[in-house]
Amino acid sequence: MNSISIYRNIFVSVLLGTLFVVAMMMAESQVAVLSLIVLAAVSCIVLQKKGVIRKLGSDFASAEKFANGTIMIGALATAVVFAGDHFILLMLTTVLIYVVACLGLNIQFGYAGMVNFAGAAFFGAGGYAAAVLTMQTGLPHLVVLVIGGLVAVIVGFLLILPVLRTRGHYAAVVTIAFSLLFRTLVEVSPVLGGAQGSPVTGMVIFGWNFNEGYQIAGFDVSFYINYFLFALILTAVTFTIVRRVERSWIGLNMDSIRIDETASACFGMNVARWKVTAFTIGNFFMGIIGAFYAMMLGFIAPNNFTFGDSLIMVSIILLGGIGSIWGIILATGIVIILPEKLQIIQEYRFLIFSLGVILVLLYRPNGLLSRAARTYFPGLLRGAR
Amino acid sequence: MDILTRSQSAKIRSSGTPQIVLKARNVVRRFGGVVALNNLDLDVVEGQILGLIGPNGSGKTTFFNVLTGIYAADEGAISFLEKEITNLPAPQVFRSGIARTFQRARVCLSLSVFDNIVLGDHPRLQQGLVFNLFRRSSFRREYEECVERVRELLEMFAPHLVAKMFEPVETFPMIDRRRIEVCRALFSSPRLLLLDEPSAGMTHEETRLLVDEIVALRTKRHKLSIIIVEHEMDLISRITDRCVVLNFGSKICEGTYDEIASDRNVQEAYLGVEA
Repeated sequence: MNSISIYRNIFVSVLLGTLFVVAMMMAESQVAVLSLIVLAAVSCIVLQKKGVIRKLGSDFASAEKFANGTIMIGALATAVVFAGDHFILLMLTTVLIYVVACLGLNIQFGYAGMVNFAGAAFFGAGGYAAAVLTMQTGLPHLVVLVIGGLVAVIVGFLLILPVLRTRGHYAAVVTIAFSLLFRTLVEVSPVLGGAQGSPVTGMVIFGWNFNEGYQIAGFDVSFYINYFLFALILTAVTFTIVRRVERSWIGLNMDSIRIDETASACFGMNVARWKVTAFTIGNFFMGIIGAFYAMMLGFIAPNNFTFGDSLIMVSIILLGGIGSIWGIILATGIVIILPEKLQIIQEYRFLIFSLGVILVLLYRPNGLLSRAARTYFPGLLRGAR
Repeated sequence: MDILTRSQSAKIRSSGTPQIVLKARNVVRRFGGVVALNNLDLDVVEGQILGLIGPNGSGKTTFFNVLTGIYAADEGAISFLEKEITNLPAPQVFRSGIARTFQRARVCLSLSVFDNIVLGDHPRLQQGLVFNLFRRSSFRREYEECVERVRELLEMFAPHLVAKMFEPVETFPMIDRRRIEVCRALFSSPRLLLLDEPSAGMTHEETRLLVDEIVALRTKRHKLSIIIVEHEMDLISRITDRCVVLNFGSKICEGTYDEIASDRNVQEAYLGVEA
């Protein structure tokens, strides 16, 4: 296997993937959208049957940095194509926002095995922190983002005792209750705007006003490009950190407590410590990205983080593959973009997602892209020679 | 009762008194109305293999669970290397030098051999967030050291697994999973190893191989003491220096395998009392 062919394969598949996303975004008629979906599904199945996907998987794994860079360029290129289109940029940015939130949830659910059905509540906690801080104080917005994350962490600490003392279904019930409770609390709180919600200032970083568009050579560039680019940076940072968590003793500890808490304790592990760590890191990411989301929308209301949104986050992880970072990115794309493009399913989206989750659990229990075995340092010679 | 074997008494005569590493006194554990452990006294001598036997439900695994901190003892005291370890939480018992295996090879099936074994020395790994996430070159050094240590351990106890160190454990047969589990328990160089039914789920041939390996273990780790819970009497007779027989949570007999095998109480416990 020569390395040129690996790079070529990666390049070609990322190019095809980008073209597909662009075509999907451009497709207007329901027929066009449907045929694109069928085309993607059929080619994936054929390629899977022929073993091409497997081969590509090993190619991507063996030249990881190149692959990640190429995908990043593909994402930027997509943004350039749609630079003038508010709606599409907003949709793409929403995908990235959900990717960050789900990567946070993945640390809790995918690694440490803590079911959290309150994802949207932590997301909302960050959003409300941004609302209060941007409206009431002049704090720099980067600081607001970080505080948004910290607020979600602090809110999470309220839950930590019940979560540590329960397992499985019981822990799920605790988080569901919390999710509903949090929303009700916000709805009746006049300080936070009640059911009407609260306005949030648009993002400004070092004088770079995110809510201003540009004119380049007579071409109008949507102001959403600012949000998209920043969300892309946040996604890349989150991606890197989550990867490093996975590829360290911390990820190993979390896997170990997910699989067998008692055995982990018998080998000297402080199980509670790693659950708290996973819960904290995950909530931090959800809070940060919630604050960012609120600043992008310019508005936050209890309707932005319903229990349904928490369910969507969990189903993204189940669909993509528990613990699988790329699987989650793929599943987020599908779950966010599909109902937007395919208006006919809008009303039935929960039905369709639940069907999707059931089908995946039945026929591909490890998700669309299952998690690969841990490599601490990819590229390092594995095993003994 | 003489708790030393012939070969060991000879060894000890030259080196002074035998060291008792584990001392359990009057240990009681109840589950509701059931007395799972009833005033159990038990000593483990350094370097010896102690067989813990008895019919199903006689309290053998309960003793392991009380000893390792999974269950609390209702009464009694346990000391290890002259330190009180009664009812310490499991991680602290492990840190004092006691490692165990489980009845149903509780290895992490989806994780690699390396991952499983490295977990066996969790307290020695640096666990800081900054170290793990941001000081990647230092982390890499520690990681490479661990790979080397795991390789050495495997070369000693399961050489055929060295080349498959990064493959998930679920791809291996039962006997290899047991070997991996034993390696995980040995990785921290414990002073006392608890083996809970190592032959469960294995064929006769596999059990024989495993016995040979446990016997070989003794020559490689002189100071290691072992308590082994087992139903396979052939295995017990071949490797133990001394046996303790439990029935309904009480010790009914103690001695070498030959002594306990000819004991009337033991025969009754296993075969029932003649009417």
